[in-house]
Amino acid sequence: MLKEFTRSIYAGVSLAVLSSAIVFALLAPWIAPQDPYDLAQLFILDSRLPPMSRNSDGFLFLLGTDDQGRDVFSAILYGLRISLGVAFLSTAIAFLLGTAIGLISAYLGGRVDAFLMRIVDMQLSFPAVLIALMLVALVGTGIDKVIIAIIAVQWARYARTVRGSALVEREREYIEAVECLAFSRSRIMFVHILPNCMAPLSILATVEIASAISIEATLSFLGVGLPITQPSLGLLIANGYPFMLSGNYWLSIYPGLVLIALMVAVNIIGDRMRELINPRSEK
Amino acid sequence: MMGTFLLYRTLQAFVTLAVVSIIIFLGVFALGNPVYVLVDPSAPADVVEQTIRRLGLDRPIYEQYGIFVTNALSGDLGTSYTHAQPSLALIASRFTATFELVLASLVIAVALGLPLGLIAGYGKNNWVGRTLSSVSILGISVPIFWLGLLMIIVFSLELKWLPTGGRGETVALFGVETSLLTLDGLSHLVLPAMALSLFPLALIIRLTRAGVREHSQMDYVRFARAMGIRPAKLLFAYVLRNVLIPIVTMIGLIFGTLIAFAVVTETVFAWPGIGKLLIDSIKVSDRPVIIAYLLFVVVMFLVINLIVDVINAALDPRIRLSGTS
Amino acid sequence: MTAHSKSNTASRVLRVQSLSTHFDLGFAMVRAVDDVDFEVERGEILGLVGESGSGKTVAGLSILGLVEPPGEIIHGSVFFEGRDLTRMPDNEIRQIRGNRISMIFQDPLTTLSPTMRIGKQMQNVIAAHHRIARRDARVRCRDALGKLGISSPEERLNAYPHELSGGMRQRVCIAMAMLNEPDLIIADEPTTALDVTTQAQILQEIKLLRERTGAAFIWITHDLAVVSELADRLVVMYSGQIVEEGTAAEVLSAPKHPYTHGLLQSVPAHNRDLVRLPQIPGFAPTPVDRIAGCKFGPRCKYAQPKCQERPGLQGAVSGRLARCFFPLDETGDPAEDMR
Repeated sequence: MLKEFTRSIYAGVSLAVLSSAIVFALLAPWIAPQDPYDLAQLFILDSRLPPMSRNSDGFLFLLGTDDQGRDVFSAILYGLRISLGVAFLSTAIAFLLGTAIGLISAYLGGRVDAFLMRIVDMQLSFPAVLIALMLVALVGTGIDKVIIAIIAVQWARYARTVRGSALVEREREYIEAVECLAFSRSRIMFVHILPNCMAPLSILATVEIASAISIEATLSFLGVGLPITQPSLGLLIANGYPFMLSGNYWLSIYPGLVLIALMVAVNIIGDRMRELINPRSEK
Repeated sequence: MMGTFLLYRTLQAFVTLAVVSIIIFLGVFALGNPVYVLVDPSAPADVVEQTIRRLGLDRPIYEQYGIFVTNALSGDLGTSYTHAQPSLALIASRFTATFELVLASLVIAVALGLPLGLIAGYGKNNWVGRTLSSVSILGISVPIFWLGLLMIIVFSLELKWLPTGGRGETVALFGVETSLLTLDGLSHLVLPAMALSLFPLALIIRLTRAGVREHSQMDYVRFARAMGIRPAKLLFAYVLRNVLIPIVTMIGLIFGTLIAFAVVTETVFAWPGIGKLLIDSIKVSDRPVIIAYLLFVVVMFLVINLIVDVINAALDPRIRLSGTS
Repeated sequence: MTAHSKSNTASRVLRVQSLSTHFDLGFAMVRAVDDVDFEVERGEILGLVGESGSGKTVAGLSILGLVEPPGEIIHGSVFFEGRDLTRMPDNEIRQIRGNRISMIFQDPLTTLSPTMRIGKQMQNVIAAHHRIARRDARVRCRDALGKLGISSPEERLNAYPHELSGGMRQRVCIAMAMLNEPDLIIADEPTTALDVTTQAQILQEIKLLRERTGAAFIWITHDLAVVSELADRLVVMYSGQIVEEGTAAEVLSAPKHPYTHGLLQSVPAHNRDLVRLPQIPGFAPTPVDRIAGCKFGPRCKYAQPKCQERPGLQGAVSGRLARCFFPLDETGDPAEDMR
């Protein structure tokens, strides 16, 4: 499976990028040269140093420092931790919620199904960013609110996907066979049909992780996402923005490059999965 | 036929609007302290008290919703705290800037995207087609705001060709301030419009290419070729006409999406449209403006969808027959 | 090379000479049309018969240079008025298409552009070849529809394809193909997708049209019943090659190739007294299969050791040919020397 997957060089590299990003994020407190949020470690004299500078102690700032003398490289590692954490958590919850609703919709059918799918259609007719903005505008900002916003944006897509596959699966012969054994419908739904919907769901989940990263970064960049005490990659870019006009590009550029590398990697992995699972689909 | 179709779609739009208004109502009035939607939180206690009674906030929630709707229908969505003017009027005055931006980026996207998509789809396996899939991955992966920053660095700070932000000089045309008619205004528009056009550009290229590819293989194209129709005519009158139907739909929908995306672009380039207004309002909890923005955008969206349906029905004779499909 | 000495140049519309069209699929080379020769006389209806996959459709497309990659004409010529269509520049062959040689396709539901009015599509066919006032073109289109028995043609011109029935649309396609009064019309199973009644009506109309205009037809079909009613001469294709050729009467009453014989046996009208229709055993070779000798050999009940070699297309009488070492005689049995 992995061998088949990495037959595409891009997919192999992307997988390496994503896994190392996850490892870096998990190990950030141990491998970061500096704890960027321990004010005792920051010296104002070190502020806004360009990449590859050393301070008087000989400490190397690989990617430079920000206006408070914070090591940008360390900040990125910590930011990665937050960005990925938010993305994975919200995607996981949206996955569970959307899948459950989609299955219930397919399982109950009739009016409930029509009603739920009406909501799904309505929601999907609006762009994700707009819905996310609408939600933070209504319920306020903060890490929990951002996660709620991402879940609210994403659940509908899982619901529609799983309902579609479930309805197709239900028509298959083996389900008829199982039905003859008089298993309960819920058992059939969860034990027999759900596992067979996993292929499209896993493709969707991969793409949605990229979308979650993007939504969080966008909200944070706009200043209506995460609070300043939890600087994700998007927030780091936003924080560097005012200093860009004075030529301190590295504050925004490097977190941005990491963000893009991450998104490109996840999207390529999603494409590759689609290719492998559904070989006839065109890019 | 067209009448029933329109009526059905309009009804659908109203239902959606009603649902969204309930969500907004619940979001603002049930989650926040509703008084402060209309009264500055720093106002004295007796004023607050008075407003509660005036607004009927002691009444049951469905009655309150009725009041909210009645006021909204008469155009009263409250007064902005920070700008001290009716929020709807504020949105309206800022909307021209957003509209200009969205329009400009759509024009860029269509003007570049259609020909590129055609070349990529019609020519067999050429460079456009080959580079396209990798570019489109980048297109959906690069966040707009980061691209905007990069453009500012390159074109404004390093090359010093274009201004870093703001709207520039405007002139009044039929009572509407526009930056499309001044050189300064246009130079301010270029970067944000380009940044905003990336997403629709990628989408239009992709759709056009896929459509042209699909349709070039269809029987009616083969038959027209067998009838000796000239290649240019074949491409433009036959293939393109059929390919354009989903693209027109998409352009309409993109228009709405771009209004939402403009929030980001406007923030990066300090473009004074409704998107920037929304972000500023969220940051200071200027609720009347937030509500006005949300309702305004939702209505825009529904109107756009309706227009797209009508155009589609005009382009594709089959829709007129199937009616509500 | 086959010589049809009886046909002189003046009465001949088209001559296809050693035509080979192959599809390069990467893993295999498909010889869809493999060294095919035939001629079409002025005003005749030539039935091009074969099962699906026999190469008959590709042969039709090859004549007008309409084969799309990965297909390619790799060899041979198609002579029309002394010029080789396969070597003609794009713009010149375009002027032949729909003007001097037309083509009709199988599925009338998909051969018209769904978003363009019938009249517009028809006028485009005229405009592609002639400078003519729009009003005159419209009159011509209306008349063309009328000739095919379409009622209220003026209204039909304003209709979109989806507003017409399948039979009506096929009539429109035929009318379009005839608009510029071509010398030859290649009809690729034009009635297969239609119901039997409509099919009969259209065949009747085609006969009338042929008499009135003198246009020749290549009628591509798998349906022997249709060609027996319509065609003057038959060319039978099997696995990319012509296996038999002759007048319709000759081929249908006394087939020389065992394959044609088998095909005829399996048509209900040809053996009413049998309880069960005989089938040709086995399957047609897929185009990828390489068969050393006679391509029909593996399915032929008369196959001999000699059939491991490649038979040529041969016959004692000119224009009456079969690709068989042991052609059948009038009684449908193998020739004398084989018994």
